Amino acid sequence: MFVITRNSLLCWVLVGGLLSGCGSDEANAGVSRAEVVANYSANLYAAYSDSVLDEQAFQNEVSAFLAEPNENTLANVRASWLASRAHYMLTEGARFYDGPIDGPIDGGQSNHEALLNSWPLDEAFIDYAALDDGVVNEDLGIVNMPEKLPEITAEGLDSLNGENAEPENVSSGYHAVEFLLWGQALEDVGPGKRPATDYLIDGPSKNPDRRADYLNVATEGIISHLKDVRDAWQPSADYRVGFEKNVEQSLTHIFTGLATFSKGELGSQRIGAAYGSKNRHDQHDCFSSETLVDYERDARGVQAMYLGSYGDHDGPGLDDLVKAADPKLDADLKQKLQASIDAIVAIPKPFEDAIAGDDDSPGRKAIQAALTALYEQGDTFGAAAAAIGITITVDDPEE
Amino acid sequence: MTRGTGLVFCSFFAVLACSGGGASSPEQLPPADPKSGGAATTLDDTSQAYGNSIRKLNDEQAGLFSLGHSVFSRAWVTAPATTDNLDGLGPLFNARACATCHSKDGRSAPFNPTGALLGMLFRLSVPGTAENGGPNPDPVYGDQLRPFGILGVPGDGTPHVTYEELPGNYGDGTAFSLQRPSYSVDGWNYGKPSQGLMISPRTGPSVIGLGLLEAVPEEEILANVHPPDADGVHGTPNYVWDAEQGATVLGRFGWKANQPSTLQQTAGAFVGDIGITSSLFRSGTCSPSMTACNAATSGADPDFELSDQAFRSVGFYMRSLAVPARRDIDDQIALQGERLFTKFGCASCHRTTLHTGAADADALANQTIHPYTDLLLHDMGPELADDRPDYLASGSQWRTPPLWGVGLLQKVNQHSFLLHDARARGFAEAILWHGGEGVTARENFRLAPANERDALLKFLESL
Repeated sequence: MFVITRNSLLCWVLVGGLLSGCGSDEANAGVSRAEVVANYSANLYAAYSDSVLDEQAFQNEVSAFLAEPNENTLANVRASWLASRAHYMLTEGARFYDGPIDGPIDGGQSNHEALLNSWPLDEAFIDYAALDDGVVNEDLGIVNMPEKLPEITAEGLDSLNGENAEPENVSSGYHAVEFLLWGQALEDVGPGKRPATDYLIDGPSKNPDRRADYLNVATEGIISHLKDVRDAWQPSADYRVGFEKNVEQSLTHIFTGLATFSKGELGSQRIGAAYGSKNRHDQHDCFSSETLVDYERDARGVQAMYLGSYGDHDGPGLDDLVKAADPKLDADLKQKLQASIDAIVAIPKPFEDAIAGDDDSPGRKAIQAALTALYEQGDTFGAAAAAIGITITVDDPEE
Repeated sequence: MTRGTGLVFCSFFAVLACSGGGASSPEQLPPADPKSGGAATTLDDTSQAYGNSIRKLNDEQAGLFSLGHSVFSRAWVTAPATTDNLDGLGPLFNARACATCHSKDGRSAPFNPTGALLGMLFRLSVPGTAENGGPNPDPVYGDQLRPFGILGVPGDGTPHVTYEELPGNYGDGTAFSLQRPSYSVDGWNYGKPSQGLMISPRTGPSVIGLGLLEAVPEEEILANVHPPDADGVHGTPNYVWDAEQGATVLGRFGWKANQPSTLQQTAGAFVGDIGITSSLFRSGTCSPSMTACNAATSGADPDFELSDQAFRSVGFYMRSLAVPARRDIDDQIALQGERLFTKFGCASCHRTTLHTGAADADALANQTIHPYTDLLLHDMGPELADDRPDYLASGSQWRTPPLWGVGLLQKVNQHSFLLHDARARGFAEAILWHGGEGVTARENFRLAPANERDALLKFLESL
């Protein structure tokens, strides 16, 4: 779970009725605010739909791997895991407005994002783990404790987590699956080295069947949560209908999500915290060591949401509205969106190597540049929102 | 924000005239000071209002705040884990993250959606005092109930509460009802607790403005200690053990002013609530008879679990959350309520104004602030008593809690439960529970006409 912070010196932008006509219907080849919101919704629905398909394709690879666990099939299913996040990461700019992805489920404290993508992961709740001296304790985790849960099922895991009825379910989602495929990343640099034989019946590891069950259940759980989010965005769904109807509020939501995700989440929490701690484990995708792939996808997703594009489709976007109100500002924001992508791409891989060392090392300089770019991008989203008469707040920890 | 207009002026008197209000003031009341936290005030009044940093942080401080926020909000996991800077949960714990009980830097509701009493802590002790003068922990369960354990380690037991409705009437005959709690523990998993076990239920308060309260000079706090006045209000300081200094010092934080500093409060919560040891509290909390608890893997690296960098950053974070500005500063009803707050006697303990001295962040130093607390202990009578002494605090004494930002509780945390054990469902019930030194103020409120009571509540909502 990633909570946003904001500074007391908020970028308060009071525009209200003064400018609200600027970006409206007659501007820019007839692109209306309602069309922008509708296109955003359609793109998001498409992205979540693709995310479900991605995960189902991944599930097939899991089955193939479990049918014949060896290093080749393991390499295949790992590649498929990385691919399975390609579309999901593009959706992350649609957070922080209590929408379907991270709004409370049934009024409770949990939300789909927390169950899909939370980090860190409670590894030793799931499976064996290495102690500080490197010695592995094979008896840890649900996988190795049949007495705690005789049969590993979704319901069984829910009930165990239910014992600790808290929002921080840290034993499910993408990173649980990542852990089950790669294992712990114990070296300073590089991915975990879980052997395929962990899943081999009568192989050297304990409880291969239960480990396989956990992998299957975790994968199925991801599909289930993604479907719920996808369905909330389908054209006839209540949430989608309301979202398209309340155009002004939805524009506020969209800008809030983009600004907060750029600055508070991808910038401050995902990159900035690791930059500050220099700890490799303050990164997403620690097990696979593929963090920078996902950070780039995140940044591209934000860019696409501003442009109203998804894949080959380029529909009415926020850019059309901003351009009509203030062409220079639109150009500036587009430049910043590309600059932050370029800055992330320029970080030398792997991320855990780049965060180490002195502040004038190439890796840390590149990360600092990406942070600066993301912070500027977040602030510019605030200005762009103001230009079309939308008031949002953007955090500003450096003021 | 605009100043009051003639329209507001007129409507104010219209309300008074209609309701036949007793206290009337012919002149328009001047606007209130919106800066409850001085320079450490935020204008944010949204659901994120408690989560803003103070202004004017330098680069290093901004980095500490960012990292501290991450430490505050992320969940701890079982050791061993790859995330060796975030492992070591438990073995016994109340929550996995600070933000569980201090959701959005505020105060979580006492119950989770399934009705479990998880947003609250049961402090435990047995008669006598510990070596440092503090409460005497139960030999098995220590000084708090931890409902959860990591896989394979049973929790201490399950906290439980039942309520009984207590009907009452305002002076004008309007009925109200309070809920009186009874607390118990279901299923002590490590055997029956000691004879004479004392339980003090406490919710996690919001964590705004703590750096300001820490910067109030001791002399200013002690200047408010005085013999009982005509209303029976006095106020006494608590003196508590400071583990960092190795000395007994003035207590300022916690429901009984039983913590000397935000740093010790934070380290105490880490080890007690999450099971994370730190440089300040290096020992875990398994008692000798808890076999599985003692056998569990530690996340210490090498001596304790919370790295010094994380401790330093979360310590700074706790001190650098801004206070939301007062709202409706020229609303005449709310301003009238503010006058009644003083007239009724509320401000005798919920002191309106304090001053800060030196501090390590510009926005915290030398500020005039409006926390509505004196940071002192007051006897609140038998109904609110937990009957569990805590250093010099008796079983019926509580520290005056700050009220700044309390008007945003509903917006931030979606509930309005107040008081140390969240028994009050909103401001009015919280006031009506006041006993002991608070009796006169409570009765002034209870017996006041409805328009005055409403004005007082409107004032509280503006904080």
